[in-house]
Amino acid sequence: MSQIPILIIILPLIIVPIILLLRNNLYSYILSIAVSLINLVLTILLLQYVLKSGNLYYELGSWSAPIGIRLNADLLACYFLLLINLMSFICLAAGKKIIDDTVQENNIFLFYIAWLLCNIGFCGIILTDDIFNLFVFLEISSLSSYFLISQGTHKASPIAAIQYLFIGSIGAVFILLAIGMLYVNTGTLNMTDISQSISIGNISLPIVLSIGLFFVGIGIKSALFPLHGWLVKTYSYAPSIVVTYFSGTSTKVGIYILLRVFLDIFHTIEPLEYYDLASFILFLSLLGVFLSTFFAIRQNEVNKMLAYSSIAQLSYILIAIMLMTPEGLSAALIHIFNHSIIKTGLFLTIAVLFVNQSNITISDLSGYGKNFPVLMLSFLILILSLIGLPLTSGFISKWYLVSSILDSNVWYISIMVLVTSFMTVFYAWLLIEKIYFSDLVDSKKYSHFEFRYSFVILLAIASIFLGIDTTLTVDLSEEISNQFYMVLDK
Amino acid sequence: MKQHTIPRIITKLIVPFILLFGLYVQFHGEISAGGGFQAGVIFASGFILYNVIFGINVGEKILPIGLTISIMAFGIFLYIFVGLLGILMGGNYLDYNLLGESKVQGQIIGIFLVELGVGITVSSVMILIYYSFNKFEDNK
Repeated sequence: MSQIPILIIILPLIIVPIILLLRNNLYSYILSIAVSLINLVLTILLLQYVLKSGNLYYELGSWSAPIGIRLNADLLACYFLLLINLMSFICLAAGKKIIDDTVQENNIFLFYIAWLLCNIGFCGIILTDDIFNLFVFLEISSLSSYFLISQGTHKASPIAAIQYLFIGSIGAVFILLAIGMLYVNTGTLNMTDISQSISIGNISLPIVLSIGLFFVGIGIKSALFPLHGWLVKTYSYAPSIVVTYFSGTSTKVGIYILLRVFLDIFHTIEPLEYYDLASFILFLSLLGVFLSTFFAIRQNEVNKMLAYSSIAQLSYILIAIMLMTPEGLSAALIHIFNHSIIKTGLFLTIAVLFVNQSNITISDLSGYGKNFPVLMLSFLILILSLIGLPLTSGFISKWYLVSSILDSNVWYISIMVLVTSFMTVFYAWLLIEKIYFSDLVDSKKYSHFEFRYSFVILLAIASIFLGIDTTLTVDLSEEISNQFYMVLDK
Repeated sequence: MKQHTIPRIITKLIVPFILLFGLYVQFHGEISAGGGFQAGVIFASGFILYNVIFGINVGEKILPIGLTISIMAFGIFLYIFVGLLGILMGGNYLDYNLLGESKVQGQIIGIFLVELGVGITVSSVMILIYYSFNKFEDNK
């Protein structure tokens, strides 16, 4: 039981060289899906263990904490691990044909290697208790994601990958510099140790610099509003299955780093309040919600529309975190999980329908409601969930978001949230109108039910389920945020 | 480079020393400066120098690309295997203490094997990067 944290990272790492030696596309698929299923099961076991008996620390090489490297599986880490491994499994399970059709024949086994490495990177970021390891895992996941993005069929996808490489590297350099500054000042890289050795009395220049550098670096990684440019490019030109996977994981990991750094490592000096960072991010996020929802309405391509919608939803999450109340944090965590399921479902629908096409416009969806009744019903449920209709998971997120804002001292923000929620209806209507009330453009395009469609339906059912039974998201999120703010109050 | 006598002779003279120095850094990494990563780079640099001077296809006769990839995977396996030995023997991942009869012996065995894995992987990756630049030139 106590070995689970390292197994989540090591098992895929054993599979990677095996795939490299076999060089067989079918075997590499079977191995990757098997290992991601095992990872999902291990994560669920870990979550149950942590819920029952508290944080699980894992010391590599049995060297104890400040000297050795340690993994820390706390409730927050398990929550994000569950999200990442669930999304990876669903995308791999639904994506075999999509990957075969999109990626070049010779590159398919490399694609699975990059996928597994990306997942290892995400899991490592989430589990590690050593801040330099966090950077290393961040680089592992970023480098493999550049490869994944460059495999799209559109001729601009290598360019999108290069652009993401530049901006991602700049973000990573900021984070590395910030870690360096912290190390200069505290002489340790262990997160728990760092948070104990800095206090509000002895803030020096390196620490201030480190906070600023972390802020920009994490802002790039989590697509904070003015730094979101890479996300739209990436989401419109990367292979559709990669977009599906990243929509639920990549930026969420960025938000995880934000929580870990600003609420856990720096919790003794409360940088978000001390330097008014919270109100600054709140302002940017509000601007982000408004503008990106506005841009989403004006888009003609489905992927770009959904990408702008993602930025808007990420801004909601940041708004909730920056309220700096336990209710706000739990609202953010609820929305992270629900939004991942909704957005993955929406992108997966596009991916299973238009396997390797790019630049899918809204009018390409005309009349699909008649030809793909079950699939489009699931799509409709997911869109309604994105708007926040009652009985869907989106409603739960919006409810907790708005009520946490009303409880805080910036209640007027809730008006903005409600207005932008209403604006969501506009671009959702553009999609619904084309799907259900337009004639079919390409009447030959009719296909019977396929296995991969069932994952979209599964996600739609999950979205309704999470809207009715909220034990997983709400109870867990509230427990995590209570833990966090109990530490803060001490 | 056929008509350039001096680089050819100098290369023939120094390549064995570079390779030997790579091995020295590899096996003395735990008591002096260096380690698997540096040793791998030094070892690969000797190999690459020989390739640059004596024609880019000489190297592929000794180390074909497929074999290099297998060696690279072997290095990773070695690392993971030593790490997992710690778990199998009842400790944590990468726990060297249990590998030998005493703690010190275990640490020496563990570090030696892990650094060997790192060295093998790094040198084959360096050589593969060189090969892929060659192929890039050919494709043009």
